[in-house]
Amino acid sequence: MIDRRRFLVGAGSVAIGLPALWPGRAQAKAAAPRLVTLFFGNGLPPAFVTSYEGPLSPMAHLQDRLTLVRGLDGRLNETQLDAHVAGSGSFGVGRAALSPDRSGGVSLDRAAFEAHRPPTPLSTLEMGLFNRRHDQCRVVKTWAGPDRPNPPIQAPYALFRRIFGGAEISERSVLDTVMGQYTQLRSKAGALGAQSRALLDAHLDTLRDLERKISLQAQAGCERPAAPPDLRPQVGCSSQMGCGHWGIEAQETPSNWDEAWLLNVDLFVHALSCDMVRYGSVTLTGGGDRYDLGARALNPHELAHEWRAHQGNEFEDCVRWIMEKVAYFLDRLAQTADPLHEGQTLLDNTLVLIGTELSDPAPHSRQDMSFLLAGGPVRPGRVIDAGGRSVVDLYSSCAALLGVGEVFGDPEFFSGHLDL
Amino acid sequence: MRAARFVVVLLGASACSAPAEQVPREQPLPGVRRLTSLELSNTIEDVLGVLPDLSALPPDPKVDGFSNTASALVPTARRTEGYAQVALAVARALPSARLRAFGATPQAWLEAIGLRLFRRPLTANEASAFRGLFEGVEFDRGARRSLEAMLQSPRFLYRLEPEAPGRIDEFSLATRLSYFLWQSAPDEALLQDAANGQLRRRLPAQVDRMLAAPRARTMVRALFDEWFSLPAARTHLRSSIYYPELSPQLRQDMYSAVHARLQRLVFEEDRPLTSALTDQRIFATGALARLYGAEPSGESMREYSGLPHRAGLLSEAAVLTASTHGNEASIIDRGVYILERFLCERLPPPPPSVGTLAPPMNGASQRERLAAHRNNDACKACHERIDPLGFALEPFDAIGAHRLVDREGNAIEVGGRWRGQRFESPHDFAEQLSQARAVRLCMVEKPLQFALGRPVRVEEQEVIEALAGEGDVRLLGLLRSIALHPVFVAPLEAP
Repeated sequence: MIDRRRFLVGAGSVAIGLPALWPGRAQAKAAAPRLVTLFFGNGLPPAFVTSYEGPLSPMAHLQDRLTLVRGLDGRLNETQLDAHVAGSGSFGVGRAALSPDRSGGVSLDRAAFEAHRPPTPLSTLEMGLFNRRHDQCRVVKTWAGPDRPNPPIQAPYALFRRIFGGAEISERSVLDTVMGQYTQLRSKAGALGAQSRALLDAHLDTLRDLERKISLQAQAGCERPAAPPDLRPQVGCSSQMGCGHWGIEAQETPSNWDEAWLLNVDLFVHALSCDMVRYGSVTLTGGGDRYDLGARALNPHELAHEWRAHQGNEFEDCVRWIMEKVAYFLDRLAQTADPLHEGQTLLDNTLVLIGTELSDPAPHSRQDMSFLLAGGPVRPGRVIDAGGRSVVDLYSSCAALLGVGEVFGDPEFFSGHLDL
Repeated sequence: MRAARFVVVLLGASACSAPAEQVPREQPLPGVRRLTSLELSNTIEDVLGVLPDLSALPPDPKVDGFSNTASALVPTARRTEGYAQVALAVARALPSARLRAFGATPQAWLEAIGLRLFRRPLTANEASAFRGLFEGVEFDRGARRSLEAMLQSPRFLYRLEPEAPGRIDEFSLATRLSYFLWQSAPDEALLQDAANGQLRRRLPAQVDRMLAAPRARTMVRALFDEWFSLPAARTHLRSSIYYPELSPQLRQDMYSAVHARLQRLVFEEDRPLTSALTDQRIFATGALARLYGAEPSGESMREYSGLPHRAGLLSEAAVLTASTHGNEASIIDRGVYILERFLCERLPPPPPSVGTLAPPMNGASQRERLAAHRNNDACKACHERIDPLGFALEPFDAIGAHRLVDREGNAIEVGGRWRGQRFESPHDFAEQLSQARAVRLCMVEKPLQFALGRPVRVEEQEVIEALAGEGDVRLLGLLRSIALHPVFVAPLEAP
C-alpha cells in the first residue's frame, strides 16, 4: 500500500501557508482565470443529469459550485468518423476532427495559453488516468494544432517528472546549440520541403517550451515535493477495480487506479498552486475506452451501449465512479489557496470544463449533451438548458470568460454566448 | 446474472462498430520521418554501444495499424523533454574509452561520430557549431556536451530528405535501407558505399548482406509485432476469475512461441508466408501445451507437431488472445482482425446513430444474437463480411484454449461458410484462407506499408500485384524486392 502522506505532505499545508512565490509574481492580481478541461469517456445520458442523485451523487456536495449545461448539440461537420472518435476529437476544440489522429484545430486550454503567455514554466499540463486506445482523438485533449497532440501523462512518476523535473540538460550552451540546429536547417530555403519545415517549426516550439521550463523553473520558489512512488508496470489491483492482469502496454497505466488518481490530482493541483502552469487538460478515460472493472468482468464501453437494455445496470456505477474521481479533483481545487489571489482558492479562479463524447451512448447520440462547469468566472449553482444549441456556443462562452476571444470553434455552428 | 453480463461483452463491439484502425486516413507523404522508439534505441545501441533507457519518452502512436506511420510521428513538449533526458543520460553514461574511440581531436571526433549519428557527413556549419562546445573545456567534457546536443539534433531525431526531383542522394538511400531492413542506423559499410557514390550500383549485394545480418531478425520481429498486434497477447485484459491460468509468464510464452514459429519460417526455412496459416508444427512451453490440451513433454519451449486443433497462426494462443478484447471471445473482434490483418480490408465506421440491438435473451448463443446484425440493413453490409470470419475461430476461447461449449452452455457450432465455400473446422478455414489471392496480396501490402512508413495508396495497387507475382510470397525475397523497387527508392514528391 502506498503511503500517500509521505509524498506531497506539503500539498495541504501549501494550501494554508501559501506558497512562497518569487518576487514580482504577487503583482499578477489581474491574472486571467485558469482553465482545466476534464474529459471522461463513454457518455453521459440525459437521464443521468436530472438531479445530483444517482450517478451524479458524488458531486452533490459541490452542487453550489457547479453549473450544469444540458441540451447541447455536439455534432459538427464530422464525416467518416466513429461517434466516439468524433465526439472525443471535438471536445475542447469545437471543430470537427480531421481524422482519428488529427483534431480540427487548437484546443481551448492551449489557445488560452497562447492568448496570455503567462510566466509559468509549463505552457500546458496534460494528465490522464488510463486509456487503452490508439487513436489520438480519443485520448488527447490538449492540441497545439491539428497535428500537434499533447497526450496525457498517466503514471504519477512521469507526471512528477514533467512538472518538477524534466529540465534536464547539462548546460545552457547545449540547448542553444540544439536550437541553433533547428533554426539553421529551417532557414535553408529550398533544401527541405514544406512538410519538413513545418515539422521543424513544431519541434522548435517544443524546444522553446523546454527553454521556458529551464529558465522559469529555476526561479520557482515553490517547494518541490518528494517523488511519488512509481506505480507503473505491475499486475494491477485496486479495491474498486479488482484484480485483473495488466500488462506491458500498460507501462504508462498505473496498476492501481484509485491510488494513481489521488497522486496525479495532487500533483496537478500542486502544479497549479505553485503557478507552474495555468492551463491544461485531464483525460480520466478515453472516448469509447474499454477497460475492465477488474474481476467483475465489467466493461464500461459495453455497459454504456447496453445501459438502456438493462436499466440500473453497472453503467451507473461506472459513471458514479467517474464522478467520484471528478469530485476529488474539484475538492482539492476548492481546498487549495490561489497563489495569485490572496484569500481565495484555486477553484475560485480556475474554470473547470467537464464533459464526455456522447450523451446517450446506447444510440451513440451526440445530441442533448451535458457538460459540467465549475469554478472560475462561471456563476455557479445553476442548470442551463441550451435547447439544442451547439457545443461551439459553450466553448465560445468559455473563451470569452477566459479572454481568448468571442468565438471559439467552428464559426458555422456559433449562434451566440450562453449566459454562464 | 453472470449471463447478463456476458451478453454485454458479447455484443460489445456494438452494432457495426469496428476498431478505428480500419478508418482510411489521409495519405500523407513522408517527406520527413521521426525515428520510432525502436529505431532510436537500436541506433544508439549500434552506434554508441550503450542501450538507452527510453522510459522518459511517451510511446509511439499506432496509426493505420503501424507505429512507424510517418504522419503520426510528431513532436510534443513532453517528447522533446524526454529526448533531452535521454541525451544527457547517454552522454554521461558512455565510457571514456568508447567516447574517445571516435577520434582524438574535436575535428576528427566530430567527423566520425557525426557521420554515424547523422547518417551523412556534417556540414561545415554543423561542425563549427558543435566545435563551439569544446571551447574552454577538456576534450572529454566537450565531447560529452557535443554528443548530448547531437542526440537532440534534427539530423539525428528525424530522417530529413531534400524534397527535390530526380534521384535521392546515396546517404538518404543508405538511411532508408537501414531503417527499413535493420530498424537502425546505417553501418560503416553502407556509409562507405554512399560516400563513394557506389551504393546504388551495389544495392542488391548490400540488401543481401543486410538481410543476413542479426538486425534483420529485429526488423522481422517488429514487422510481425505490428502486423498482428502480437504484443497485445501480453496486454489484453482478461479477468483472473475466468482465466486463472493466464499468468504473465504464460502470456510471455505465447508471445515467444509465435515469434519462434515465424522466425523459423522466415529465416531457417524460407517458406511461403501463407504456410504460416497451415503449418502444423507449433512451439510451446509446458504451460502453453497444457493450455492447448496436450501432455507437455517438458517445461521449456519446444516444438510440437500434430496437436489436436492446432495448425497455423490462427490457432496460436498469442493470435487468439490478441485478436479479441474482453473475457468472451468476440466473433466481431476476430472477424475484424482477420479482415484487417489477413485480407487488408478497411471497414468504414458504423453508420451514425447505430446502437446496440434489442435486449438479448440470456443464454442465447453469440451466433444467434449476431444474426440480428445481419438482418438489420444498416449493419448488414459490414457484418456479412465480418461475422463469417469470426465464426471460424469460435472453437477457441479468449486465450486460445479449445472449447466445445460457450459460457452460456451452448454447444459451439463448428464450421461455416466463407466466399461461398463451406469449411468444417478452423484448420479447414485456414487452408481456404491460405489459398485466397487477397491474402497473398495482403501479405505483400503489410510489409510494403511497413517499409514506406505510410499506408499503400490506391494507385499503388499495381506495385502490390507486381511484387506478389504469381507464385508464393516468401518474406525475405519480398523484403529484398521492396528494397530494390522504385517505389521504395523514389524521391519525395513536392506537396
